[in-house]
Amino acid sequence: MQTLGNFKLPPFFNYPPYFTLQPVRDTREKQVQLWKELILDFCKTQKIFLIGLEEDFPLFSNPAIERSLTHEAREAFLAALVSEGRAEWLDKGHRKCLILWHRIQDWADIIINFVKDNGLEDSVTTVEEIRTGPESRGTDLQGVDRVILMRALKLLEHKGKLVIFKGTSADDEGIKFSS
Amino acid sequence: MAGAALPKAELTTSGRPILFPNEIECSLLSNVELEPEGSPPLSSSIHLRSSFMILTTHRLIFVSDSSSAAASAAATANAASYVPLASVAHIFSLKKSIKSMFASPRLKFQLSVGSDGRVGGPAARSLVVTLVMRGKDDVEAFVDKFRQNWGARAWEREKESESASSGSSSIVESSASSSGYDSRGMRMVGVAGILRREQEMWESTDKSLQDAFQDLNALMSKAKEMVMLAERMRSKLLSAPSQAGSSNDEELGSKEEMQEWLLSVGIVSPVTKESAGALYHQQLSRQVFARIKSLITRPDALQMGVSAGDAAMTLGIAPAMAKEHLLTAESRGLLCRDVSPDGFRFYINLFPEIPTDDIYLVKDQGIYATWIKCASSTSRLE
Repeated sequence: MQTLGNFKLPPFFNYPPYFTLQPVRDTREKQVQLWKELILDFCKTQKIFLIGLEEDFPLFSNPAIERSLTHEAREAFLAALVSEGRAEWLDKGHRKCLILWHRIQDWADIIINFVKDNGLEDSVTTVEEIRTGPESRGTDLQGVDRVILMRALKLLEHKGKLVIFKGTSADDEGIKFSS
Repeated sequence: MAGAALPKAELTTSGRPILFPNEIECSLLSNVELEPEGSPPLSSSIHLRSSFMILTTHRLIFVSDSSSAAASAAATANAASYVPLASVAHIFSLKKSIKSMFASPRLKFQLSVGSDGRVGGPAARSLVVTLVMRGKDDVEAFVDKFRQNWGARAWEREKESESASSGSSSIVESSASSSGYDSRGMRMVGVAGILRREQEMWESTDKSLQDAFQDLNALMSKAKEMVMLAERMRSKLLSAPSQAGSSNDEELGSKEEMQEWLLSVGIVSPVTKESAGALYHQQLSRQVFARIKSLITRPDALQMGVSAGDAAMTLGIAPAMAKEHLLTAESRGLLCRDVSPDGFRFYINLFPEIPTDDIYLVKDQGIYATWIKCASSTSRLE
């Protein structure tokens, strides 16, 4: 089986038509579905949160068969993820895409569990601590994208689960978890 | 002084003008008067009446006979004078008015005269004369020819060709004898010769065009036959029942053959997908798709795909036809496309067989399994 780094690639990754945007509707639907899954799987295992369409994203090329997705194809597959709520465009030009291999709601749930698992109720911590601190090691939260984390935290704040406040340092927020 | 200013024209004993070498007669008008300028007419002006006037490539020749009560200054029985076209400075437009509808047509033109009042010599001034055409002739045709001849300046070209070809025999007159006439007795030298040759060339071109059009007409009628044949076949196909099972096999077979034959001669689809629906899919699928499927599942085709050219060679049809078939097969989900700098190729469509719940899963059977086996047999996969 082929790999991309430590990521195991599925057999159809070597199927040339996989890299050509298919015109026939039913075929296209299947192709889109396979790409959505592959992108999300890849991003999750590689902890990738951002895809730049104009950059060389390794998943979009297969040197073994000398095929690459066109810009049109990349945009089509990512747009499908956006429609599903598994990605967001960060700019109007659709050049940068935030990948939500966990939805924001899922991230919020992960944070709640994190608080529970580490007995952090009613305590205070920082955003950076949550994503890089020792408790985050081995969890999905480790190295999570700041933008995504903030969105999840804001969602929880809105629900009254925590409070976000300006921390001591200029670029880090403090979090107070409710009990 | 009336007619004396114009040079005299020589006549034969029967009263016909003697033409210059290379001069050709073009029109004849009867009862033409040359009216002078001004009223009362200027003393230096020209005035004459003629029985008839001949337009040639070189001159306007006015011939009068003594039987008419003409104010001719000549004493001979028939008298003629001429206006050299070379002396014509300008030709005015033929005046048309309500008045002129019932009157004789009049054409004014300007004539160069010498200081001595003579026409034909060196010019010093010009005077205007009017041609009054009292005969019942086609005046407009004459006026056109008059302008044409005046513009053609045949007298000048002769001077050139005379000086150019003096001494050496001209290449142009290769078929003419030294007398300047060809075997038919037609003048072949000079401008007359050129004009005549041009005329002959036009006539022969016209003849070959006519022949070509005969061929074209024959082709067109054959084409019409073909179209009618195709139409009959088409309506036969369309009238077929849409359910495969309800008609007898023999009829279906022949319809199938008809479809295939039509396709092979390049009539893409007399039965369109929209109109025939089931018939199209059934009839076309059976024969053609079976062949495409067997082609596209060969081991090398599984790995490399098939181009329109490859399919054309294998199926024994034109590349354009092959592409049509491949595209149709694609639209039906049998194939999918691979577009790359290497070109446009088709592969067997594996997408339906690839599972979405587990993208790593490979079943033992099916074309996907076959494909993986083929693909892994090459060195591309580790």
